[in-house]
Amino acid sequence: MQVLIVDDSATMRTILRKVVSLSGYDVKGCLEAANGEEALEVLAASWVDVILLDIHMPVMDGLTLLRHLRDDEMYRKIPVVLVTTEANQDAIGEAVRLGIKAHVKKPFQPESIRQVLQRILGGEYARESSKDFGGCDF
Amino acid sequence: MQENHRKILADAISEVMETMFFLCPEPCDPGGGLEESRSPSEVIVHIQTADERPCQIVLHLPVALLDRMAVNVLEGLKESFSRKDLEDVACEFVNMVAGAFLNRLDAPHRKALSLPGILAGVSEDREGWVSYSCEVEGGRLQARLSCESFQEGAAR
Repeated sequence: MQVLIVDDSATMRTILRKVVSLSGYDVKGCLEAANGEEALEVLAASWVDVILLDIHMPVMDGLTLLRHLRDDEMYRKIPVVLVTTEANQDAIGEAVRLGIKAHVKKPFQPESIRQVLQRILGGEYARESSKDFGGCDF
Repeated sequence: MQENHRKILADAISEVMETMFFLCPEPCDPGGGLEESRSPSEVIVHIQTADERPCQIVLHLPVALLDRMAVNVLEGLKESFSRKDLEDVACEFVNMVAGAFLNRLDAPHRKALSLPGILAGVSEDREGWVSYSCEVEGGRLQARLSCESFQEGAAR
């Protein structure tokens, strides 16, 4: 499985990379982008199986990126999980209309990311012995 | 209302600190107040809602605390953290605190957030601001909140 993490915070990208690597899925790679524009550049060069996307980013925000993805035949089927602090219902509603598969609020328990990946990807890419997060250790 | 907002802010800070950084803040007396100018031993970070009468949060975070937070989430990736690394941790922290704060309010008050930023100093009028302080491993976190746009009955 190849994951694209799109977040302007290097701290959050690192946290998500750790969470994904411990999620019980066979992660071949975690690609990163600091904004929507960088994400489009990454997507032009690499296939990804799922995108973890923030909304608030400079240069190109998450909702604008979502519109680009939905307008492009090649990208519109890539599942997108919104991982954001966004509390505004209009913004979340717009993201849902644009086809996100799930919404995880920051701060989050690592387990919630694993559950979302499981719901979206099912058994595909799952390792035989997945790690049980139990508590909140990364 | 101010006491209510202080409680919500305290809960938001605790939630983010415990869930993402594995640290348990203990509320404390604000003591001597906040420094007006930036000290090299702390990072001042700011975020606000993107509307005409914004709700604003300002956090003063000691570098030692940010270093502890960085170690807890980034350990193994770097041996030491630069000022830029710590400022990034501070920005993501205030972003999550603001989100957790707004998510505790009724839907009409959950405005969109702007991007967080680092402040060189604090000089604005503090009248009407809510203050909150807590001790965390690594130092004292000081927080201030201004939410003039919803002084009436916003909290859930």
